[in-house]
Amino acid sequence: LAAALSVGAAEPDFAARRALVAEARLDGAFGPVAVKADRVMPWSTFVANRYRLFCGNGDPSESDLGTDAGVAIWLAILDGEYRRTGRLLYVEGGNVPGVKSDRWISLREFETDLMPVIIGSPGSFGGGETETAVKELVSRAGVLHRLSWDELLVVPGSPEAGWQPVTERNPARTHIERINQAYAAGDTAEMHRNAASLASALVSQPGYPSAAKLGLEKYLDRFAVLKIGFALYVLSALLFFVWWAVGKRRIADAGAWAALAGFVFMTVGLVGRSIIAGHLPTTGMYEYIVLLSWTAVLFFLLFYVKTRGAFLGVIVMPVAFLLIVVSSLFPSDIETQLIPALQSWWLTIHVVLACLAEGAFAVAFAAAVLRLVRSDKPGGRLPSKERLEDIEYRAVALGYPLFTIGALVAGAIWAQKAWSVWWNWDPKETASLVVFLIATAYLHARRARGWRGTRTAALAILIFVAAVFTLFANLIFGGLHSYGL
Amino acid sequence: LVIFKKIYDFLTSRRVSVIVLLIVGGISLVGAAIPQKELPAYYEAHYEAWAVKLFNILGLTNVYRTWYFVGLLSFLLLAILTCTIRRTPAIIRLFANKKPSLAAFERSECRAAIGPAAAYDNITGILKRLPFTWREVGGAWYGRRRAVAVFGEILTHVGLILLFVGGLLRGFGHRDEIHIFDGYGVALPPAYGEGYEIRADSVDEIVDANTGKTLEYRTGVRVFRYGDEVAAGDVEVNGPLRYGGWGLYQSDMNADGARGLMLESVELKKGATVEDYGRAKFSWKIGDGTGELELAPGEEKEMGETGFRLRHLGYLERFTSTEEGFSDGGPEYNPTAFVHVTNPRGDVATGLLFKLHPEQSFIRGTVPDFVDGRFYVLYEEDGGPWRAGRREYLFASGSYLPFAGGRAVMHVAMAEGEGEDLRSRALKGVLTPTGGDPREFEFPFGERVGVEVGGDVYAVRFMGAQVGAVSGLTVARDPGLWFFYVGCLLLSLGVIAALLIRFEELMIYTHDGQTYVAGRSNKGARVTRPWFEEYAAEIEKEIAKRAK
Repeated sequence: LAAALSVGAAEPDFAARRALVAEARLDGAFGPVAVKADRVMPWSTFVANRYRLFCGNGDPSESDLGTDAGVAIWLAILDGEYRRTGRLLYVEGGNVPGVKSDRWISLREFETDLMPVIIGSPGSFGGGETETAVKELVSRAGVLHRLSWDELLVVPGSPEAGWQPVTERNPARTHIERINQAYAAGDTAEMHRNAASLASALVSQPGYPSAAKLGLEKYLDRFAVLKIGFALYVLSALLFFVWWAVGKRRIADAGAWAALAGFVFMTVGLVGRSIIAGHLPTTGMYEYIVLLSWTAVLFFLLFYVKTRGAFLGVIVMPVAFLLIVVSSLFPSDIETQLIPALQSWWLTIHVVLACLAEGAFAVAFAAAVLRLVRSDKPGGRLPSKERLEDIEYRAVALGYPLFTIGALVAGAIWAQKAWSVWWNWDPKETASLVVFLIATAYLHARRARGWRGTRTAALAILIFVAAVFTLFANLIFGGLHSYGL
Repeated sequence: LVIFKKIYDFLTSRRVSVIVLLIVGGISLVGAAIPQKELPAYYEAHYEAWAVKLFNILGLTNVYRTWYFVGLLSFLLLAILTCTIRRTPAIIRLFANKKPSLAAFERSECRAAIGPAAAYDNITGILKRLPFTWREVGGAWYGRRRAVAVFGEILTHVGLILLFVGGLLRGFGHRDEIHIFDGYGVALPPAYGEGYEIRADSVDEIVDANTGKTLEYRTGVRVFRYGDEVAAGDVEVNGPLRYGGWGLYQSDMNADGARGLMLESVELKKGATVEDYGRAKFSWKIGDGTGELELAPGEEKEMGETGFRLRHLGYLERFTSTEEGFSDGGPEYNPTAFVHVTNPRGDVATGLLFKLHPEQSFIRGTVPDFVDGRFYVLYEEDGGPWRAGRREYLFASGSYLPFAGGRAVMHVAMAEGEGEDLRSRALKGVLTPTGGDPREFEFPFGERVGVEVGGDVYAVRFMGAQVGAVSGLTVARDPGLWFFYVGCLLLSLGVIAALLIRFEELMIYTHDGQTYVAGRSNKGARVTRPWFEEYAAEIEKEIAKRAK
């Protein structure tokens, strides 16, 4: 055991160490034990030092763990408790169809879903003792024959054995030190007691997503609901364009149905994402832009039901799918742990209301653009200018209170709580103020004699353009709203 | 009067307001695009020369403080105020006017004949079913609902005015960054009230052990005023602690430790001076002779008639011995006197005398022949005549320290000195007693400097640097905060009332043998028409049904 805990000789005696490992495991003292190329160590140490199981082209000899990497994984997999509660972070899984990278997976999912895909023929371990050992373990686990190591990152089983290096802050260190002290003192009972505590800590995982969340993420990934939603938005836009060209009502209705179906998929995707993350999709550019696209379609559908205005779809649906295209430029990782600054209900109120407002402004934008292109001649696909103006006003009238309360009031109150100052002339703040000022100007201009018409339409267009600009203001100019992408 | 009328009309003109709003928006956008309040070198490095010149001419590097921007905002405020004054009486009349004139409805674009004049007589049963409050007004039925919506505009305008006022009052507030080391305290700058001290009981960065991500920055603080605890709580990101009109906000943290400056302040007993610091009593025994001596640091006295002399060289209250030598940074209390003993031949022996562990005291020198091997000097007493209390401060340069139990505030900064070594540098302190004039002090490294506050004397010493977890807090006092909150509330209610709530009115009357219904709302004819037509159709249908 002393040899197991110390750095071994240059030439690793794998068989001896394996025997030690087996002994330790049978002994129950150390719980899961990991094997590195030249030493055996408690599992917690192994994981706490963030050993990535990297190796190019599936060759374990290039792994950070050396050729014995497989043993570590399989010991973890074979361990009863770990098997039940352990988690793997699946990375760089681009070659696995239907499986998304950068997410947590359970060992069960790993074995049942991933293994059959990523495991191929035996022999790719390069033969030798490791292969034999791995094959044996594979055989015992009842799974297949090859593992592509470059796709897995082993994670610890508890917060105590977290990703951090073993530092003073990490309670796992205390366990390990006590084990070592007890071993040095020859106090086997104490050593076993501490080892049991460590093992117990390793398998309790309050910080990990629940099986339900993992399952939800798996199905969301598998069925790619957001992608389907996007495809339906594109289809909807195309149908509205066709309607514009040929003018058949059925085509417009089909476009609306496609938009509704896309909206449902997007809703499922966003709700699922919210459940997994534990918060609404209001953090990061990706989530915000997708949410904006969602609100734009929401208001389009509401106005469609109210006015049967297929003409709005000609503009709103392309805007919606273009927003999703733009969102794809940003990282789409699900952030389950928000930075302290974002841990506030004001974030949800602020972002959701602002997003809803901008969705309404998108409809106003569409109506205003159509009003400008509408000729004075009767007929055509478009309703009268008055009707378009009416839709435009209603959309602004809906968006204005939402924007005022969400973007400005809630934002200012939150800023007061977080930054001690409710107005700071931050670029994003200022850009939001500009949206508010233009919208206010629109509402006044509408009631100014002789200014209704082109001028108000231009202002309605400007509101949405400014709102989109506000979206990117922090990226362009920096400032306090720069929390990253 | 004509001029006033013109100004009044100008201020209340919607067209003018639209133009001003857009200009303010445009200038604001310029302010967002050009980084504000940077040093001139920044602009020179990032922009063309002609652009920098333009920025300087137009004040675009601090555009929100330019005369023209402030002027436009002032105009906007005045315009909102004027509009509010102008509109309020009419809105109140509208709200209070439960008996409107029929003529106004007869002119409405939303008007429909719903039956013969006879139908009017039996219409009350129908009206009761509609969600309006009805009353008979001069031979016509008048109904209305959601009348509160008429206040939308006023509430919005008043909310904006309050926000403007809140913003103006904010200019009279204060905002400062303070850094508190774990376990230590700092005073609030005097602008937040006198006698306040903030102590940090804990400085924690709470980290998820699984992911290594920071979950929270938290500082456990206690607030003291003149030495009495008046408030306590945790300050977190998004979770400020408020007290006494100001708030503490978590803005920064270095839980792993940062270098702070250490200052020691020892309160001397009444009548003692800083020169008394370290005054101690020694007892001695040389041969058969014994005696006692009281010496201040630097003082030397004869040891009776023995011909020996004892010099008290220095005093270390917290003596510690390290590889680098001894220092005063050891345990809380371990007083040690550094002495020289000179024998009649003039030989000098150096000694360290420990009060708490006299058996470990030693005197170096040629002891055996110093005095027949029988030589004792005991360090009998310290503190008695001069020490009343002691306090340490660990702080960041530029901090305010609570002094003399809150009766004074010391603003302390690192003074310019030679070299990087703290020992070659000094602290500069500005002491401001409550109600008194500020006084400047300089504290060279290691030297005790006497500081007097209200008749009490403190021996203050700059002890060097020490590492500790430090929390960065923002302390802010905003006299306009309640204007801001009330303004936000009114603005929110106002925009909801003005744009999302519809004030609806119906008038049912007879004219030329017909019964008519006319409607109006605060949303204009096009928005009014759909709901009006709905109600008109419902009433008409009911009349027809009852006629059958």
